[in-house]
Amino acid sequence: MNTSGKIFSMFKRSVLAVFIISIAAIIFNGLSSSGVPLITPFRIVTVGDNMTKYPVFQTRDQIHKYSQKNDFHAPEEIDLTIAYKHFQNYSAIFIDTRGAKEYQNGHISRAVSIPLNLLDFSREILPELSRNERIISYCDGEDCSQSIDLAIMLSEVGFNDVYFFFGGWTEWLKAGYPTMTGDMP
Amino acid sequence: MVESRLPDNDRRYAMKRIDSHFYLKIAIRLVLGFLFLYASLDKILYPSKFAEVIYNYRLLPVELLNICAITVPWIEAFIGISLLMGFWIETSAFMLSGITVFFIVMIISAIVRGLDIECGCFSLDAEGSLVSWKRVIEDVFILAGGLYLMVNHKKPDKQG
Repeated sequence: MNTSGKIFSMFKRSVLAVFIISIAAIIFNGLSSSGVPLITPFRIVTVGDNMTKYPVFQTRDQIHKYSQKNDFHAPEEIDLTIAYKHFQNYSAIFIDTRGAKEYQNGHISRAVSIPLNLLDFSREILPELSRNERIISYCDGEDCSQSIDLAIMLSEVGFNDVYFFFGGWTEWLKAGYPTMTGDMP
Repeated sequence: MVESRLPDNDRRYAMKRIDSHFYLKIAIRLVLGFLFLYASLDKILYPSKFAEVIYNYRLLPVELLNICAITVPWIEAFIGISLLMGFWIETSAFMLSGITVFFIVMIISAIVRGLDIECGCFSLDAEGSLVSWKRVIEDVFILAGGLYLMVNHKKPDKQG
């Protein structure tokens, strides 16, 4: 068999193998307790003119567990431990209220940027987002109050499960928890 | 018979070459097989975490993240098992080379865009493996191994 024929033959067998393996993987995923939905669930987060699809990286079990919502409560303060627990369980949306440049230089992984100083008050905040979503706002740390301000605003427009992480970026960074740089994908 | 026409010295030299290739191929197969099988385990056990690693590369549509996180680790596991057990070697080496080229492109694109993200190469431990040129070099060696197996595998795979 010549080289191109050999490569074509390997390609055909690879396609067949990938097809069979994918079916086996999907079946395993369906039976596994850590299985995930085949199509990634996402929330649409709109800030100003920017619309971002915000994926939810939860297992099927986590989606079921965290979909049970609490009744309305006023914004509450949470500490680093609880904030990180929500981060690990993908059970809250983190909102970074600092300026865009500070956000780009480093932020909590998966956090959405809503700089409070640039917020357009004539528009609805996060219009596509369900008012039942759990939201955690943060800013630099104990010296800033934007996280509290945003938490109160969100609560006033109907979000019923809002928290502010007062330790903010400073505590998160100090703890060595996951961070990212740059804009949201 | 070709062998009978070769002088004794040449024949011994040819046999030595065959032997050295034989052992080298086995060594490469075992190393790559183990690496790919090991790399797949964490990802198979925690697909949601692997989906997030893929998301951070910012190359795929959000909707496709989970399906990739479900299937890619199993392809890696298949390549690993096949190389360790010695079946479909040629095809596995072809798949390994293809998937490794894909990984190299993804890592380089992340480095070029200045993304400081977890590689997701061998484990899902965020501390252990950020994208870097070191990861690219590792993958180039893996690719070289895959191509070597593909080119030097004399016995064609049985049709499946």
